[in-house]
Amino acid sequence: MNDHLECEQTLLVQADFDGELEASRAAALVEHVAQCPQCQLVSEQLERSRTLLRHAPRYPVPQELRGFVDRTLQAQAPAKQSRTLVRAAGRAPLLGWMTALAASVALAVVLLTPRTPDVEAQLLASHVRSLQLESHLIDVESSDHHTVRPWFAGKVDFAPPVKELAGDGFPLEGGRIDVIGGRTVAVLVYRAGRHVVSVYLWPERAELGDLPRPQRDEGFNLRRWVEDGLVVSCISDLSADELERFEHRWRAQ
Amino acid sequence: MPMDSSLLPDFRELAAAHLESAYNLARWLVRDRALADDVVQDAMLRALRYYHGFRGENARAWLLQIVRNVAMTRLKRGNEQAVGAADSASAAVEIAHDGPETALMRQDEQRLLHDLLDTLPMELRECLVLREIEELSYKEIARVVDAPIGTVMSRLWRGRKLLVQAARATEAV
Repeated sequence: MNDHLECEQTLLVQADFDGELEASRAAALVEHVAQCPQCQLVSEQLERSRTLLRHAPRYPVPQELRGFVDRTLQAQAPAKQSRTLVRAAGRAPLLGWMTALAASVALAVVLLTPRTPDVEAQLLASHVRSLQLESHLIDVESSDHHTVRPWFAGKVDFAPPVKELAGDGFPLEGGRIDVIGGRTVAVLVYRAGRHVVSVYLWPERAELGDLPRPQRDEGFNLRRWVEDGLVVSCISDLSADELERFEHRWRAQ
Repeated sequence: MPMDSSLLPDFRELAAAHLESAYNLARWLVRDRALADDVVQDAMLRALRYYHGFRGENARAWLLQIVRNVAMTRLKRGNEQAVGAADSASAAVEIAHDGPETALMRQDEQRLLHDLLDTLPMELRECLVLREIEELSYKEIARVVDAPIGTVMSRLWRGRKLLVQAARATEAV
């Protein structure tokens, strides 16, 4: 049916069908439709389309997506929570904060090394932020360490080791620079299936904080070690086991 | 990220309440499971960042608007047709499991419906999905798809007509 053959009331008939027409106009329209064959045809088509769409399904939300949304939203305010934790440590009952084992591990770290939590929080925030906007994820996009490594020259005052781990299932995606604790750091981005591993590198002498043990924070895993004078921090939503494997593969090179 | 954590519980509730709508819309737009996942993840993070500017009116339309924007950006970047083609067969099977009373007939209907909706241009399909599956008002749809209400009405009508025509053509075979 061509549009120019339709009655000019067609969209009003549809609006009535969709319950969008006020009662007074709807009443007048009923009279019109009663004597307009074209609009009667429109009504039939509307009914038919709704019958067709009646069983149109809503796609069920995958469980992984639900989990991601929960975890990510929880990861969004770590800095503030950590600072509050430090302030609260001197006076308040702490148990209220310790809602999970992960939280208690983080708390121990906070109490022992007051400067660490900010770095942890910033790493987490940086990693999460990088996942939000793909443009932030990578400044230099390459799977070739011969391209990525020189790119850092002049941007950071150390030479980050850029390792090829594609053979281990962690292809290099690229690198970027970021600011953690007021210092410019190098970040390497690796892909692990559908997950991203961010590797943050800065010189040990930068003293951005003491080394915490491997920990799990709101669904993200963190591993950190010192290697050739550099602090290496890996953060990802990979499982703890997989991230440990990543560390082993990295350090094996 | 300096984010006022006092906003978070509210946002989490909002996100949880509308996650299904968000995913359904994303899926119908991009026609690909993995890509729809990415779109919703991205949209939720963006929504959280913009949440301080959200005035509290009609959270669902607001969120779906963000989902749609992210989906459109992704589709422009990739090849829409190539992605869309991948979804229909597997999707019909996936969603056919949603009820114990689901008979073969229903499964066939759903598959047919998928194929029919797939043939529609995106701007008509999204209006139909928002109206008939998500049951949004004209005003809400206009907001989500960023078009005047009159445009929404004419897209809805064109979409419905094409759907009915396509169904008749299928029956005639």
